[in-house]
Amino acid sequence: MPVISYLAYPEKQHRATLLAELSAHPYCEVIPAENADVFIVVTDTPDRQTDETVRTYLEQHHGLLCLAMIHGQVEDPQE
Amino acid sequence: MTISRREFLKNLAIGSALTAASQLIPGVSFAWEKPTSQHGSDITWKKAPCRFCGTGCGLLIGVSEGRAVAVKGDPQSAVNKGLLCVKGYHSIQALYGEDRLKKAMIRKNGQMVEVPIKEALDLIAQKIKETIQSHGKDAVSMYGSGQWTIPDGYAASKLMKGCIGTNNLEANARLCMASAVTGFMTTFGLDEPMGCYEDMDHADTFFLWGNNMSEMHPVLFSRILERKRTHPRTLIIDFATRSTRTSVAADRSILFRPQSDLAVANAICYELFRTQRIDLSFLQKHCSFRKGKTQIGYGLQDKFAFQDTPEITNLDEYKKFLEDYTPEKVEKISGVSAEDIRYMASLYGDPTRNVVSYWCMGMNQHTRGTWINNLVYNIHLLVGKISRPGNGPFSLTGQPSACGTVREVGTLTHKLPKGMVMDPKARKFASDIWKVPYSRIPAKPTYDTVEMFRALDRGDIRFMWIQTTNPMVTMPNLRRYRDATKKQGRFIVVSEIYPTPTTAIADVILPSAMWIEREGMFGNSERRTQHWEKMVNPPGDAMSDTWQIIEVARRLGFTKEFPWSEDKHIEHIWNEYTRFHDNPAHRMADYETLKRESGVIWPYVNGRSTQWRYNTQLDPATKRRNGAVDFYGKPEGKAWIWLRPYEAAPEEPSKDYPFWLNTGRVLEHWHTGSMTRRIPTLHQAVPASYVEIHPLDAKRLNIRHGDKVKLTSPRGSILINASLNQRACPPLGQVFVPFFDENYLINELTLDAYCPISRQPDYKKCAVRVERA
Repeated sequence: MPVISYLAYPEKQHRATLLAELSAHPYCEVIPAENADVFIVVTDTPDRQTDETVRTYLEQHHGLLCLAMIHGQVEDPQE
Repeated sequence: MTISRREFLKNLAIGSALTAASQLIPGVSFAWEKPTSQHGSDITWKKAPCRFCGTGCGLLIGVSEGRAVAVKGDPQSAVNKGLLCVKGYHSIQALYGEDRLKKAMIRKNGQMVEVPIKEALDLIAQKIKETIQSHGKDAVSMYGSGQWTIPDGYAASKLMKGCIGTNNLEANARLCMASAVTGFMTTFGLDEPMGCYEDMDHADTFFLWGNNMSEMHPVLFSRILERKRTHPRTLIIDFATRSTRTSVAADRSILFRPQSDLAVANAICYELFRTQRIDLSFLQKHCSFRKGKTQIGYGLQDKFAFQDTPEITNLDEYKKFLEDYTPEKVEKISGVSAEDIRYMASLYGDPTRNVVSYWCMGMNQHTRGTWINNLVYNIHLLVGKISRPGNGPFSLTGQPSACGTVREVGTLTHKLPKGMVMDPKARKFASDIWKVPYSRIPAKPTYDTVEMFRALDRGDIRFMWIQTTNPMVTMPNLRRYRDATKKQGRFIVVSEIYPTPTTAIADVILPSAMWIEREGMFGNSERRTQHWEKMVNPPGDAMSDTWQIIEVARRLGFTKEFPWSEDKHIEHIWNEYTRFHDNPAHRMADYETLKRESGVIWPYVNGRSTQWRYNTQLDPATKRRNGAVDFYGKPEGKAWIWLRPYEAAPEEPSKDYPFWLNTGRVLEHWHTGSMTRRIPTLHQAVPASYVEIHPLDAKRLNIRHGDKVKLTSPRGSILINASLNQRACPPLGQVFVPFFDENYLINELTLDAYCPISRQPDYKKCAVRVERA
């Protein structure tokens, strides 16, 4: 059950749509900076496979300039 | 209000991201309020230095129900100011790998079987006694680490040198920092940098000598980038043998041919004289000149012996010596254009610039490691840019306590906690503090690390106790030394936390308590000592390395020398150890101060850290106060400028082996990967080692990215996947392989040549053949 946080730097022209898109994503929580072009994105997924899918989605998103993983906690269900 | 554990973890993840963002973008704000909760109050936060590199980042570790559950950067730490790298953020997960060693094991009939730890400790003591009886005390050895805590190293030194009476004590810092030590000693008479990390807040010119700082010391590199962001005049010069992420971030990337940094450093000095950028007043007051032996060999033979002989010389001879190093001549040796050499000299010589030089393994793992250290000091001495804020040469360390334990406690064959074994006064001082007979501490050093393993191979050493290091991955020319451990009549003890290629050759394995599972202290690159308390219990029978040594010492009859109780032994060891350094040049903080502070820098005098040594205004140990500095490590108070020539590497590319092989690390993994490869996020980020090849070389050899490649040196070969245009790129004719992956033992190919003065091996240069497999 991974919980991962990222710093995400949006392309300026895609900032608003990216924020809306990620906010609507079932496994993402987004906290935009108030005074800079950066978001904190937290993914909370039920298993590693979903986490991988969400990460790939983020990494390949055309509206993102850069994605930096900051913190990760992976707890498997049996734990 | 109560929140679930998942909510807690989410808040923690957000908190880490907030901290990271605030460091990267000062002043950034987010509309997020941390929820308060009863569950949150169950977490106790305690300070500790990071377990990994030598930066010494301050961590706050969240402990709940006897388990470390969270990490954040310590905003009180002057080192990292709340920021951590990806290894630091994931560090606690290294405690909880599935295959942690929890029980002692003994080899019986060829198989490792679990035994009570008491039985293993009894056997170790018995084997030490038997070996001494049959082969003499110099047949017993101990090999430790720059990851040893200070108390581990101190207990080991006292046991080996003071109790058993052998100088067969070495540590893996010989493989990473010895050239920095001999460099400092030969130039200044005292070890360790004169400056500190705060130099980064005052400098505007950063020279990185063969140092991929963005990956190896990412938090410090972030501080440099922040300096650049706030002071646009700042320049970063990446002077290296391959292009890395550091090169991309630098203002200028200058590539040189392996080994030719010696020539370039001299050329910079030549150019400083030519352009009259020398600080003559500083030079006359604070420097004198020496030359040593040349054509000094490479330590490739067993029982290699070398002793340098400093000879007094003068400024005129030095200037004449430099005439062999005009930028045009050096361009031919180094591949660095004369224009770039002049550019570098112009920055060092610009009186309006504050200049710091950083280096790590590129300069230290070098068959002329001492010389290149001397030569970079020469540059700073010629322009007087040393021992003042924002100016100085600074060797970074790769291990958390290479300085604190190996260099300061002195866990090397020639060292004592204060001074050298060759010095009768140092032996007397140690015997008085240790309360052991003076005659018991031998006056002659025995084996450096490479020679210690050669002695094991020859049979001169029969017993070796290895703690907190993984030599069966890290020794150069590895096959010879691995085969040595398997020879009849050798007995190897390994204290570890996980199975490694080194535990695989052990006769006894002791499970060690790791990092915050015991109390300890580390000393980082900037002379900062950092204490942490025991936060969680170790698993199973695991025991701290310090206590393992004490248990064995007592079984050998040294109870009087190791009388301390288990709950207070770290405090007692610290109090005894600091008696060695009770002088203004090296005074350490007391135990209570260390417990309270996020680390303090020695010399710690009158409640204050000394950030810039030798500076007459800032260092209480200075005596001659009529100038800017007093290099009090040398009797005459002057630093020595050395005439050190360029000499070629022992093995260069040839018809049969046409490529240079360079080895090193990557951001996500730490050293041999025995911890970071057990952290899922880090392992997934870089799951396997690889060989970086220049795309044109690859094309010529019909190699594509991901293809299996055979690398062969005169000592062995491996199959490994090719990496093209990924995180870094070597120049034509060079390849690079990270050493973190035990499945690809690149050190089976490297050469066990070393600097004859420091006896540190060169892992950066040997010749290989590259073929598509």
